[in-house]
Amino acid sequence: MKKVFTIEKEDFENAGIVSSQIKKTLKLLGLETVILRRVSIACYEAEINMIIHSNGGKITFELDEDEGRVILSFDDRGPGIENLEQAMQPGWSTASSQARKLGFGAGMGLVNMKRVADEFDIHSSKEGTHLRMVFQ
Amino acid sequence: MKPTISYTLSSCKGCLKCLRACPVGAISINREIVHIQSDKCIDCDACLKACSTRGLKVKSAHMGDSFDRYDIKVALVSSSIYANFSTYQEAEEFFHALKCLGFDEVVDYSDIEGAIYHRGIQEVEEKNMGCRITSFCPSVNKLIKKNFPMLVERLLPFDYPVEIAAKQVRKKYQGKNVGIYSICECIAKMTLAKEPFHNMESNIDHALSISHLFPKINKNRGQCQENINPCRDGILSVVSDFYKFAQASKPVVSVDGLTHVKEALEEAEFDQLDKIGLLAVFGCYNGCIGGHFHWENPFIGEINIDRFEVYARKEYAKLEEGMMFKEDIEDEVTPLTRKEKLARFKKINEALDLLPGFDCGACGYQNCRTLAEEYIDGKASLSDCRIREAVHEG
Repeated sequence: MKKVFTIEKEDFENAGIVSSQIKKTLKLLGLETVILRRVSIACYEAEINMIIHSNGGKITFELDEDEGRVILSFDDRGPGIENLEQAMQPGWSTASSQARKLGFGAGMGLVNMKRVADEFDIHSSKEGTHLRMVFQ
Repeated sequence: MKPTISYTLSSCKGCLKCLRACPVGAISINREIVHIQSDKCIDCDACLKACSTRGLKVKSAHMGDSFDRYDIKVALVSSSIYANFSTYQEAEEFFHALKCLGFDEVVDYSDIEGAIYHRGIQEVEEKNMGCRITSFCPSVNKLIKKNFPMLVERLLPFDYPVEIAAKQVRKKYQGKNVGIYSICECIAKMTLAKEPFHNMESNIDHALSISHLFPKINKNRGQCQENINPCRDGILSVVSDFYKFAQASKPVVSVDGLTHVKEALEEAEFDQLDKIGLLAVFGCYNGCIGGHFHWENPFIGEINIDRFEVYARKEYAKLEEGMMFKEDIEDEVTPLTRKEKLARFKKINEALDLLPGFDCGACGYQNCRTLAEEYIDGKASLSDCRIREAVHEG
């Protein structure tokens, strides 16, 4: 099963909607609580990141029936993460003041995601950031 | 366990109101008979309130049948009862009238409610665990267990005040033949008792609804009064709005009504409520004073119970540690492996693609997904979908 969701730039109004839908789907599937929690938190963080920082893009949610895995991919249209190494440090944040006012941008996003995912790949250039997380 | 609410008429209009109102999708309608799935039902009152033919009834016990079985009979009453009285004297009369029904003792356990209220706030102050959840409401506890499993670890570990009260009575009359009756303001609370719902691990022998007792109590009223002694913290713990008076260093927020409750829990699952120290959750509007069996509505109820605060001088109970905690009952785990779940899910989704997705309920199931699930399990046919049939015929 594969579902693709579109994310618009700075669409704070709809922040978290995709994650809610994915969470709902995984609950219907009856996914075990421990992994459900990891997927939900990582997905929410990544979705919010995309809304705050990117020019928009898409989220792909995949259920790998053969291997029994959940795969989340986040592909945006730039502007890219300037210093990826720095962005992977706890507490580092470049969130806009508008985003901070809404309570986003504590700078734990990427660190948290890497911690909870079983596989974590990230590539970033000016054209876009591509993040893929796999949960076993 | 049989469902708490059962369908009593021979046929219904098939208006689907109960089906649509159910917050957990436990209802289906087949051949004009309402079926309530007990493993999904959380014993709230949504279907009962929605039913236009009054065909749904709560199973209730008759106390007369059981009175002969016990030497000592004790009634337990929650502080939410005070919402029904506009004067202090009315409350005194009520307690006396209740006793006149044949109880040896009538226990107002507001001091235990108060104790758990205090312990909850203390627990949040001591442990730093993000947003903790407290609820005296069995419906909410069931909802969290079944539909928000990620939040189970956030629930405070304390038992229901009424259960603790029953344990105390049991201890007080140790070795004696005592019958413990919980006088309930809502359906969910009734389900805690041994009778009529066969909860054998409970310390409460019988559940009686206050509205069921009301005519009898009313007859005995006005004769004399019983001294009452409510506890202020108990009163604070059963009214949603009163949580704003909680004295804690971290924010305490209350949510009431299952629709709002579900919204808050969705946020909590994403760790988005972690600025809140304690989230107090009620299934009914305005808290326990909104229980289905109260005769006063929850809006006037709040004004009424607010007046009792001045008279409420009893200290909250000092409880033994051992009595306070809930025993964990392990739920049955589905035997399916991850891959089996995924395979089943795929089949359901394929069936779902054949359905219109309007969730109209005309097939007798709450939504297209439920029909698809039943179809995969061989319990329903895709031709049960009226829209699909109409399109085919057309």
